[in-house]
Amino acid sequence: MSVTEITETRQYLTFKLGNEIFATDVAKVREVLDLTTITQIPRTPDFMSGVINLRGSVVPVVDLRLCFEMSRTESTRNTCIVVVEVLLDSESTVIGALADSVEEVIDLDPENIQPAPRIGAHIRTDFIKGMGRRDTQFIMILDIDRVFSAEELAAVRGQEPTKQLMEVAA
Amino acid sequence: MKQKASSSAEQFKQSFREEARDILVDLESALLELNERHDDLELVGRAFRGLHTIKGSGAMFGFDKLASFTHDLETAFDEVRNGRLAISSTLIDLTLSALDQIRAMLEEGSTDAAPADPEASARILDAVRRLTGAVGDVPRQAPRSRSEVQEPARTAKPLREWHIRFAPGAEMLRCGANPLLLLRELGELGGLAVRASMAEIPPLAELDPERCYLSWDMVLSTACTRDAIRDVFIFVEDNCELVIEAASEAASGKAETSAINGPGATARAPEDKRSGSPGRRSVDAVDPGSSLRVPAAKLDQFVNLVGELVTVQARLSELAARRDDPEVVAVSEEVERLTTALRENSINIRMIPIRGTFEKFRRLVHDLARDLGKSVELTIEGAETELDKTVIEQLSDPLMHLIRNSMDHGIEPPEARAAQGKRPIAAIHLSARHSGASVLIGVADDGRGIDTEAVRQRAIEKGLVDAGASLTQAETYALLFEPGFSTASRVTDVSGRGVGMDVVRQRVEALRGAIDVASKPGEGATVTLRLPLTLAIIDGLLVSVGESCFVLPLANTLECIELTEKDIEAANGKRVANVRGDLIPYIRLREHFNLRSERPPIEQVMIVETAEGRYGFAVDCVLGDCQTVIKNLGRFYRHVQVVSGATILGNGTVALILDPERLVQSAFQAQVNARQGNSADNLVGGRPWKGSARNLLKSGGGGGQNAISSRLTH
Repeated sequence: MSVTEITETRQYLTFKLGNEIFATDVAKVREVLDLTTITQIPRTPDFMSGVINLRGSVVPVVDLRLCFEMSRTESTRNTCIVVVEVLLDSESTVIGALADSVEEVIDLDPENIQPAPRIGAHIRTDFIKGMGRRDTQFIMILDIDRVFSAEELAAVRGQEPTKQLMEVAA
Repeated sequence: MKQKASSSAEQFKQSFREEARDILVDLESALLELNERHDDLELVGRAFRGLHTIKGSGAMFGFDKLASFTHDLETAFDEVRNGRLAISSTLIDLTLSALDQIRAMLEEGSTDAAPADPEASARILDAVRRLTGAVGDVPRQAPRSRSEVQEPARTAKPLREWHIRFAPGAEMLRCGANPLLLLRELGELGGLAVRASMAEIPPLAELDPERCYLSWDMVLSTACTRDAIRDVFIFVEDNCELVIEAASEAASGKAETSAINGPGATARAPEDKRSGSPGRRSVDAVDPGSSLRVPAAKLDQFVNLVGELVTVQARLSELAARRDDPEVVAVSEEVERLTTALRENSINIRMIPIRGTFEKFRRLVHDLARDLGKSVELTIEGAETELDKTVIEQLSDPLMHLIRNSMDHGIEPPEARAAQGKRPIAAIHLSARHSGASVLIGVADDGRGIDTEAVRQRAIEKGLVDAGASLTQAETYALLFEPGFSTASRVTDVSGRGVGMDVVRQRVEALRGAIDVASKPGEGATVTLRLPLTLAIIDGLLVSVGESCFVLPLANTLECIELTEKDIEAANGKRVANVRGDLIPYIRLREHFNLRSERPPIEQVMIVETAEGRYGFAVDCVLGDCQTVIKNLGRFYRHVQVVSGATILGNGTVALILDPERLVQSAFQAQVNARQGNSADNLVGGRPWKGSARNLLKSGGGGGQNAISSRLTH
């Protein structure tokens, strides 16, 4: 992912995971929800938090912090679900992403965006489209399609050891 | 305005396409039945009428090439009908391939599309004309030539006089029908004298030029039968008053009245009127309003909306129950009643008979039998059985594979059958019937049956089982559906690539169905697919474990028993429940799903019938039965095995619908893994299932859980 792709001023939705600020193209975002009851699906990897009822449809929710090898999202007053529409296996899919807090929608000029650093970032650089700068803050612009792409998810899934074994009646 | 007109023309064309497709299916099955009973005149009539309708409506909607192509076929069947041409397998094969051409022409976007394969269609037409003995002299123009061909037939038979009264419905002109053309076509059948009745015509000021006020009395002398005369009116029959009497019958006052639907215009005025100027083209049948074509997408949307309504209604009921206000409760109950009715109705709308799918296979069997040099008869039973549209759509492929497999592997060549003293014509029997909330679809043949030893050998070769493994019959049959399994020593066009049966299993499982195989060596094999009636809705039991709710499908739930501490002690730590003397193993969902919550002193065990036998699922509490709308978990969770879907509860939270079969399998797997010494893994895996997410829930979604626990205490 190079920054050359970003050639025009775009609007980004910024949100926090821990102390870091992330951003995603606002065009990908459908809506932002307050945290609601998440139904977990048994025997699935931890980062797949479960499903929620979004006005009658069942929408999967992902714990972004676990995707980026941070600790699990704790529930606070500010915890939100950012509902995004991504391409999963070239099919448009609606997915919710847990965020510690949603900040604001900002304009970023291309000159304020730099390539992602090769090292030093906490998260895998191929998830990052570029580093935006705003005043003194750095904003990591996510390639949200890639974060949720099937291969990436499979890779995360692969890291999970064979899960939850248990005995059954003999 | 103009634009509107053109778009409605496009709409008519579309509905013609749809109608023509249905007619083609019917034609095909008529032809194939005809192949077995060459002298069945009723079938000949059916085939003729089908072709006639395609030609007539085709010409009307501007499918000129299609109409002229169909014309020669129609001629051929008219000849057959008049007894001048015998039905032969050649004619039927030709007509079948012609139907393929017609189908291709229909698919072409534009109306005057040339035949998809001009050479092939020319060949077919040539052959057909040769059969009818009309090489070269059959003109391409559709409407005229029919009478020319019939001319000799007419002179051969004695003429008969018919009295015909034809009173078109007042609305007929609006449907694009032209009575003059009908009269002219009638004139082609023989000598015709026409009198028009103008008594109904109102004063000019009141005259609506789009209404038809005329009716006609005619005397026709012809050699044609009553049916042939009625065929002239085939497209308007439902929308007119038509009386056809033989002259002698008319004299004695004995009349046969057919299809009286229009207003009874009775007065007559002596005014001669010959049918004249060429006007619009042929006419189209008018749907009497008994059925309606709706795009499938609209229907899906409707059902989805009803599904949402059901969810909202459940919430309303729950709120009403909590408010304890009699007025609100009354309204809520009324809404509940209506919603239930609406839901049942909407599910019903999606139900269609499986006939179409079954009939399609007549052609497949016919073609395959020819290719394989076997003679096979397909019988169909229970074609009227209704199934959800989506299920039927998904069923076509698996059935095709099963039939191909039967034809290729199951059914022996005719010589081999003769040697065994079997009927030389093999039988394949397709059946469908209801059984509780499921439908059983059977594909049976009377071939050689499944050779369990060959299956076993093959499986060992393929490395699917160990050489020394002892297999039950059911296990052996199950091997047939393993990926990459095929007993055919050579790869044929028909089957033997070893992919088909695998696909069958995948598809059937995707439909939440199961496969059952039965076979007797030398007598044949039967594959039965057990499928749910609908994919949209499920009768389930709502159960809870700790704070989580699950839905178990009611269809395979047998009973529910209590499990106390004492029972657990009595079983010596084994997870086996004693049900009236039978020992039934159970799976504790709390453990299987690693749910972190205290086990209550008394658990409920749901006894469920699975393919592996009876199993129990231990839960904390049974909350009651529920009819739920199934929501797909989507691509994101497509790897999840034990859950077949989700549903939204009255309190707005999502509950998972469990798949008992897969649950049992996954428990087996877990047990095998545990036995193989993955105990270290087990320790790691001892990490609670989403323990902290659970905390997150506690603070985040308290409302939902309160609702559940309030329900528990009820």
